[in-house]
Amino acid sequence: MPPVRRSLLFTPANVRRFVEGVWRHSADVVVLDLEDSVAPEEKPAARMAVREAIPLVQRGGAEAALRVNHDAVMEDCEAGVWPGLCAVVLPKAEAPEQVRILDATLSRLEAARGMPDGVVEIMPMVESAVGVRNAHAIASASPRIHAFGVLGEADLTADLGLSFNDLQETDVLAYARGEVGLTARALGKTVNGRAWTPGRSTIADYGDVTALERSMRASWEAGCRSVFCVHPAQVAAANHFLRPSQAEIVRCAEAISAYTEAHRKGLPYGVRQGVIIDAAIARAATATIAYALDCAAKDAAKLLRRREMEGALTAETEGSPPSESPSC
Amino acid sequence: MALADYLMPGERVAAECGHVAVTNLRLIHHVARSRSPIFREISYSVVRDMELTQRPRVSTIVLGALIAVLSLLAGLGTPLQLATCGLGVAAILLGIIFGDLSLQISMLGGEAKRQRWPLREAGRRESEAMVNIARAAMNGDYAPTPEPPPPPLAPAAAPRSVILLPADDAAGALAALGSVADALCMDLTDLVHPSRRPTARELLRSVVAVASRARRPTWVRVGLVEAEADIEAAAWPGLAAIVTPVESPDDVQRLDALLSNVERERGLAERVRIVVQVESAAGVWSLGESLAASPRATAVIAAVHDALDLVSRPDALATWSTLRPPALPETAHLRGRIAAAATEAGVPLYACLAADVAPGALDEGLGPEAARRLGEAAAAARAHGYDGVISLHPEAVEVSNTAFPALPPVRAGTPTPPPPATWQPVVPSHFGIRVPPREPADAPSSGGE
Repeated sequence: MPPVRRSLLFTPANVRRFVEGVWRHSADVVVLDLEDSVAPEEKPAARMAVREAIPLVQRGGAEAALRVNHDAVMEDCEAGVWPGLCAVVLPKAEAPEQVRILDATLSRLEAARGMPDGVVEIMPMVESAVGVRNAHAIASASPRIHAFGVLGEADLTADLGLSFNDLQETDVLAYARGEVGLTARALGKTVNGRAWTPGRSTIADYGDVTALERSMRASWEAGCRSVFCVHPAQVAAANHFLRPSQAEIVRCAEAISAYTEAHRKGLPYGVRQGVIIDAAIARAATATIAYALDCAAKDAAKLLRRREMEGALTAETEGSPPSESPSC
Repeated sequence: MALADYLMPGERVAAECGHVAVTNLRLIHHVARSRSPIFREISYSVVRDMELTQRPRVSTIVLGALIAVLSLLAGLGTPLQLATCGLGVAAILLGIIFGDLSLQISMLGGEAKRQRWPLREAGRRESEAMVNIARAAMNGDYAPTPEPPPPPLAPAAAPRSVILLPADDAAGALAALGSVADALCMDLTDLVHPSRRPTARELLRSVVAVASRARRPTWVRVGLVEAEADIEAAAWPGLAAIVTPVESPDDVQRLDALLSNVERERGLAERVRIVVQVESAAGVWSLGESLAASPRATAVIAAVHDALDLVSRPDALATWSTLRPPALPETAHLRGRIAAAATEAGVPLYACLAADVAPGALDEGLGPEAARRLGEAAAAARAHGYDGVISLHPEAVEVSNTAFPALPPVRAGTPTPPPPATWQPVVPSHFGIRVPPREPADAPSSGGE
């Protein structure tokens, strides 16, 4: 069972205000960004801030990840790989060598900094034509890759000579999307890309709530388990729609009971509303219910952490000594 | 264990004489004993030279001497005793002249390293011939005789409509023989309860025979996990193909080997084909390689709607059903890949039609609409590049024969890869433009150096 990581919220590592407040958004993962949301002259300061930021962003029960610069992987990892980090997002992945170098760097840092071996995952982002062509080689380059399939849509459209705005009308990235999704599935990885839906539904758009909901629903139906978010408004939609709905859980339960009953009677498959429910479907239904439970557990854990934090903060503002509150 | 089992792949016996076999790779000495034969071998890479040597046969000489001495002890009185003594002397001479032949092999790395293998019951002439062949093989001059060509692939025409039936349903199979389906596919996997599978396997032989007499190609769907038992049960004269969900070229090669074994054991005259069923992302990814892995792989069934690991939802079948082929945009990419791989390999591609609908439920759910919807789905499948249809439902098979008027072509063997395309500018003729002939690559260019 893959861990529940429905929403991965980018937060610029150098903006102290964002880093301190991001726990309130209930993202499953907070991705401390050293790349596109940090201005070039701010990058040294952002690197310095990562180590301290990791426990800060985890306060709401989120996991912490780090997006590095593809042209400064060593420096960024050196500054940002510390205990508590769950993943490194590698943007502009084009060749398996990039992943291998990052893998070796992570192994070295894990050993040096007392982290369990292999604890930091790698999440490559495909953002160029070469990356799409090499998708299979990239995704199979390291055992640290557990999730694959996210496209950097703005960069990819630019690299392909397409207009980013055209994505509203048609899925100009259909081939790339299909290819990385198929690669992820063929290698047994979780898919973390996004399905295309018409309208303003790309990662950069968060104003249109209906479009956001449609996009998240479509992503779940296409098998996607996690999406990257650039704005807190996207987080709630991702957490809500990237999990089995109530109706789906009921259907799964019915499918399982139909199959179990048929199996007991010596029939090869069960039938629910005219549709054959065979062993494979029953297995998938079981997995879906298990995943729904995992999602519920994750939400409960996050809620608990949030309550604790809010309680601690209230106590602090009321002036009582912060004896039990976590250090912030 | 016989000598044939001891040989490595690609190894051929060039000559054999007196328990010594000369192959294209090495010398093998084998002593056949009742239970465990002994094999000794020497690779040519360590042999310096070999020669035939002859040693007096000790047993014959001792016997002759014994006879002669005994007759002498009795005194040379009678002609009989003289004759006996002469016999003994003759035996001694025979033992000296026609002694035991043996093959003496001197090896690289010192004089002391040599081996002598007795050539039992071997004639001098054939032994010499063998040594000559061994010397040639040692120098790499021996070309192994090629393996006898495999029997031909079953010539069955590729069907356009295949009806899928549980293999334990003999009555259903008989009924299907009376239907319009071009071929039958007996399923040993999902449609048969595990407890019924042994019965289903027993039934298969007669079903295959009956269908073969009715000149209806029979396919059998086998599982990858129980492939060996399933193939044992299915591979009887008349079987056209096995259908298997395949994830990688290794799977196809394994099935090929299993089929070869059974065919050899049973002396089947025609090779059974493999119909590759694609139902997982890994299967889609490696379809091209899977089809190239064996000349038996001669058709593809695209069960895209069944690709459970491509979608997260357990009721995905309802959405992905081939009753609505272009339902999800994500499937377009998969269909494209599958169709491209099948076309490149030159094999027919089959669509599963209403594979998720339970038998009998079509009428119940759709009523008179069913035939129209099925017809539309079959036409859509044809438009998407499919060559035929496989289905559980007799009504789906009926509409498919209308939607696919021609039988798909049959792949004869491994397709030869197309020659590398040489690019030529294409100019529509009505433009009246003439393309100048290309200059040779090494011609001096008109510009300056």
